[in-house]
Amino acid sequence: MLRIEHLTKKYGEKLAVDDLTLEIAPGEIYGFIGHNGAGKTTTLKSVVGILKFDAGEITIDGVSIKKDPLACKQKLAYIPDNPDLYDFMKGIEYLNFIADVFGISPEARKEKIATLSGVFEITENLAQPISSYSHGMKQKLAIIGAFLHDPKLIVMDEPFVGLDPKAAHELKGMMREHCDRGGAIFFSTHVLEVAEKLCDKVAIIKEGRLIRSGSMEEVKGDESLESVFLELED
Amino acid sequence: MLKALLKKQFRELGQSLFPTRKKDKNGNIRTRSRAFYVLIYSLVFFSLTLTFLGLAFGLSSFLDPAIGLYSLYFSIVGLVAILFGVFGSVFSTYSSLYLAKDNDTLLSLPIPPAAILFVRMLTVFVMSAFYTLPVWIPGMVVFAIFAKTSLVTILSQLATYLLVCIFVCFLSALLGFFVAAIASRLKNKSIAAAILVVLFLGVYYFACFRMGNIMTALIENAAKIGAFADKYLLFLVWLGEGACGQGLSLLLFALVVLALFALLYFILSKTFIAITTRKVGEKKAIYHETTARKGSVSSALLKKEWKRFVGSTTYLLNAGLGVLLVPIFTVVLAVKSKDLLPALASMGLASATAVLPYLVPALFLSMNAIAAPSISLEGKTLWMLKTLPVTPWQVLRAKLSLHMLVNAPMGVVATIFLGVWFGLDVLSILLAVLALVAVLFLSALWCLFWGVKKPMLDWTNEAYPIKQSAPVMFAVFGGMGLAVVSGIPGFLLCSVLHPAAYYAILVVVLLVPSFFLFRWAKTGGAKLLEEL
Repeated sequence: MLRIEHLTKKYGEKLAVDDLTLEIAPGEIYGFIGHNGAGKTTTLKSVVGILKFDAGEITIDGVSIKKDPLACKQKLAYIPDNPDLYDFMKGIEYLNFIADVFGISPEARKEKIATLSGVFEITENLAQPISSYSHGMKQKLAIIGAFLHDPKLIVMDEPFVGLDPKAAHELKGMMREHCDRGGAIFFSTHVLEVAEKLCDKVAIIKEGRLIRSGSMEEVKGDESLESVFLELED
Repeated sequence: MLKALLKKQFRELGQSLFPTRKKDKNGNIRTRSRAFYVLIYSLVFFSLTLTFLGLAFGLSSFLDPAIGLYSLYFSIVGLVAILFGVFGSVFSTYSSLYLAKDNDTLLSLPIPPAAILFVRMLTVFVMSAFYTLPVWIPGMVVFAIFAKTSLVTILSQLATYLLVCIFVCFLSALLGFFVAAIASRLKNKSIAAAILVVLFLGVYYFACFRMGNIMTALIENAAKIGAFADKYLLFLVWLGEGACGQGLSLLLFALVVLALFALLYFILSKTFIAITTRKVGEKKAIYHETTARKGSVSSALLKKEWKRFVGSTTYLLNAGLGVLLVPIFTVVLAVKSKDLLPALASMGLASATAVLPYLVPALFLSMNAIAAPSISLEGKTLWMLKTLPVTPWQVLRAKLSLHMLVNAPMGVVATIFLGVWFGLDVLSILLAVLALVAVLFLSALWCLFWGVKKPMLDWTNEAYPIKQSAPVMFAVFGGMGLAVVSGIPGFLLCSVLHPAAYYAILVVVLLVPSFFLFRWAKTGGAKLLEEL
């Protein structure tokens, strides 16, 4: 579903991501962990087409993000670490905007919005301006917007930040369900317990370089993910 | 603490007026020279100064030693400076003072609200100073040419200028305060605030024009000046006398201005937290499930632009006021045409009936630089457009479309109305309409060009990208220049050409740069947006 080959990204002289290669198959939840400034967000932003990279290749479902970004973006959804949404819109207007961009039929969007907003308990709030939303509500709206068009690949940057425990639980369920239907998820997190329980595969990045990746069992062995991570970081 | 706040505020203002930091295609930040901006601002400033130099020369008869109305001269210059200064700063005062995104952060820090307010008022003061200076400098120059000047009078004039700026800042902040106090209790804040500002401004200008009439009457009847002015226009008399070097008047003028400012500052600082954090008046709307109509990508993007436009008081006022001014001035022009047209004809401008149907809407609508700040306003939400399956050109086209959809209908109606009123033939009206649409289109492309070239995405207050930024300044003044340059030759040419022929030529002339700018927007502009 997602193939990253020798990705290299520099900011001036600073190497943010250094020759990173990994692959995510359909049905996989892939966790991406590393300390602050390790290169996680840069990698995720390169995958979704926000950042141009210096070398390497990224393909989504066989299509290069460099060569055909629009086709790639049709297949993916992105949830940033800070959900800056259109404050001047109401919640429902934002979702309709996303639905229009992806060409979702009125019936399908109505059903999807009802279901997803019900799951996150923000149905009533959809008539209110996003500017009045709390951080958590904006995060929920961004998640609903991401799941609205059934993307093949969902890229998330710290998706659990700001969510209440119930919403975080629901999101984990939705992520699993999405992958069980053949989709894939690539997400960064600092919550190692969540990564350990939720992910099929995990990659650890340090100073822009991938230092370990593979299935959860391969990466952590008999230890906890936390102890492996701390060991590698040292 | 105050120093840190000032540094933050002026760094932001500096970045919006001199956007020298630019991301290259790899996302790296590069710093560029400020020389280009200095040159452009100097040109704008020079043009404004030249305009007001004409006014100052017009008043130079007051400085004839035989007449000796020196203080009245400066009273009028001061009044014009106040009018122009308020017009330049008032539309962004409300948002500058109250709508910054860092309100919560700053209020949570150990900083007195009065200090936050003081720093923000300084920004208003800087804008006031920027707009009053092109009026005041010619005033001083003409005074120096025609009247006896000394170091004392020069220093007095500089002190008076400073006080005029403080007074403009006071008026703008007062209006901002009223609008904020009322709008914070209303539901549709942006539209309500916009209407309030326009209403207050209408009342303010009505009062000022009344004062102008009084002053004209005084000029015509100079003998009564002393008694009348002493009774009713003391404030302006002190301004004028102060600028002429009369110490007591300057002191009195300073006392009044500073007392007014101090009183307002006291009230504003006491109410600052209450206004910035007030949430009342927002009745919680409940969503009821409905089936939305499916729209195209283009219409979704256009709707998004429209919602942003009407969702912001500052955006509406600074980029939409022309739509309101066009019908007002069209009607005024039609009503006053019986007096105005003979006057213009006596000045050798008999072709005014052919030119004004085009020039009036073109000039007022050139103030509506909707597309110029539209890229900057994406701010931190730009990630959405970059991750959604939309092309950069689709995004730019939506911004262009909004610019045209807001401006063109009112302009077309005004041109047709004035064309019919002034008795132009159908072909001339039709071609005048085409010329107007062409100039608006070129103006929209011009705005978009600057918006894409010099975006400012990391703002904390939308007043910066909308009002106090390089692309908007360049777009507005360039657009106004375009309207003038395309319309003024008509006063001469329409006396030798049929108006239809003039407008036909104008359409062709305007379409040439439009074609190149349009092509640039589709390719170079789209590429720049992609790289942001």
